[in-house]
Amino acid sequence: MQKLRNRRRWLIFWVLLFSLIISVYIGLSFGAASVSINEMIQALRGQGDEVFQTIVVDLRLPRVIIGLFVGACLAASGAILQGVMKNPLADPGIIGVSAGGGLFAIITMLIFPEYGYLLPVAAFFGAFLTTLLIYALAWDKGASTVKIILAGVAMNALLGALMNGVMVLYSDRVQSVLSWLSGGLNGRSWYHLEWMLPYAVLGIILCLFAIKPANIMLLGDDSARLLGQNVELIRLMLILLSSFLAGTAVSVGGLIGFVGLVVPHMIRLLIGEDYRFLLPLSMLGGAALVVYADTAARTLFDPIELPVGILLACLGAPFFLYLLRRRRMA
Amino acid sequence: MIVANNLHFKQGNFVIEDLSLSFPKGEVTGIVGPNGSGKSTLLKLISRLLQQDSGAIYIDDRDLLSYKRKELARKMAMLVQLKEAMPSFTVREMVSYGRTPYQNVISGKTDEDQQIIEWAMKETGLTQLEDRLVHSLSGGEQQRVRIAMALAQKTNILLLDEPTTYLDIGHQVELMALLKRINRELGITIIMVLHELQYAAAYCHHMIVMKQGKAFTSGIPNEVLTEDLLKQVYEIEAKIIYDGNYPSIIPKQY
Repeated sequence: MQKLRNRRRWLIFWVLLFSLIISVYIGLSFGAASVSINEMIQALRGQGDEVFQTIVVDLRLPRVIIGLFVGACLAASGAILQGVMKNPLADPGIIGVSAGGGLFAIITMLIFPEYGYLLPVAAFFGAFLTTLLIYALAWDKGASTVKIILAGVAMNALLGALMNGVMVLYSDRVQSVLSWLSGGLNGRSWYHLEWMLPYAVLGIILCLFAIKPANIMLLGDDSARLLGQNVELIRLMLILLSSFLAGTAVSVGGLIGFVGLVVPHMIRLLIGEDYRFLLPLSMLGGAALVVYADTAARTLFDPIELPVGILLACLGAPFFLYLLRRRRMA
Repeated sequence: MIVANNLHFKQGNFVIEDLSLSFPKGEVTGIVGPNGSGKSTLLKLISRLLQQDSGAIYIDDRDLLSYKRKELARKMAMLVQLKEAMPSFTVREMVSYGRTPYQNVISGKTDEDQQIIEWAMKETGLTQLEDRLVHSLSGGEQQRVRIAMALAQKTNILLLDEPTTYLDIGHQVELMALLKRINRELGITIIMVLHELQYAAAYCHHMIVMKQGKAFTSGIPNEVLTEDLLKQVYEIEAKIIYDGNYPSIIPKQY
């Protein structure tokens, strides 16, 4: 029984790892100029045709790596948020957490462009404040599923309006923001990776420390208290971490929704809610999904590139509706 | 020894008024009373899930509020009423969480932890089920898992809030027998809120009857549980017939 469960976890781990490797391969290979595996390896070694070197190393590789980190951060953020809010429908993109990060990021980009390097920090604060606000709005001796979603959707709408407002006021500078807003990895380079990397790595390391507290919280608030845990503190720390991860992803990838909802949900269905497995496997799955989606987004309607956020929304929204329906039946 | 002095507490409809009680060490105490009489509230005050507005609770002559979180969790374990669904943990994983008060965020399990987990599962007859998922077990087995988790906390005091609710009579009797054995063999002080007066009388050394936030009476069960008490506290006319320590309650309206 236990062996079977472990076998299942490992099986899913290898499947996800394999699909992640494939996603990196097609991310580097597919596109306007398709690159064969030999040409790719040569280019990565700094040999062969210089055009291929530019395409693979300068254009596609940073974009793929950023996609991996964005996906991992979003999926981890969603997995933690769903646990804290005791709500399987919580997703940073749906309940306005990403939008909060987005608003602060837009303000930074448009009003204080000289502080561009603080973009992840600003996005984090936006995401964090929004999460706290949603939690407070939905709180009435415990926050119910429905109230969190309602408060979150309302916040999402409000923050969207504020973003539009800021963009109208600064319409002369808005061009750079627009593509970012719809969630795209278009034009992301080594430069973007460099300033995202420390935040992403820190967030992923912090996830390791979140595993045990998040698991204890699964036992219920009272049971966790009776085990000597400071439940309020744990909850606050987990919300902070979730916002940090969402903010990191948003600052580079823009508003990419549904990854944080779909991926942890699927993984949970497959292997259960134990965060020792849920969190790392969600990261793998999220990373692969974003790279696949981004590759599809830039090749499907060649020569036009879709922002990956739009493609993911087309995939994720029906899934969300399906979950809502299923929950109502149950 | 647990002593409560002049407890006052009010939250919505739940009221405790000027309650002073003591719970004998090493014995089983049953708290009974009608719905809304404050039994569960009292238990939550003792476990510090709720905090009294005034008055004090002493555990081993020390103010309850002066205990650190983890320190208290090594002194006292509690089974809350089962409301939420159990997470998808195995029996062994679930019992392991009883060791939490002895660990920090990153520490793994020590050999001592492992031994205590084995012991707790053995005491509750769960060794055969250790790899089963908790939510796939019967209600009675789930309660045993929670008791094993509490035992793994290695406390002197065990509180239980209506542990027999939702169980069929077979599992109820099995559970009460287990608790009695835990008390006798391990010397753990047990305080539990019970709905079934029969169990309180048959399995407890000491019984407390609550009514409207106050202790109506307390003492040895077969002296406390009388036809008069049923009339005054539960407002029913009934006959009580004892078979040994086990009472049968037969309502007159029947």
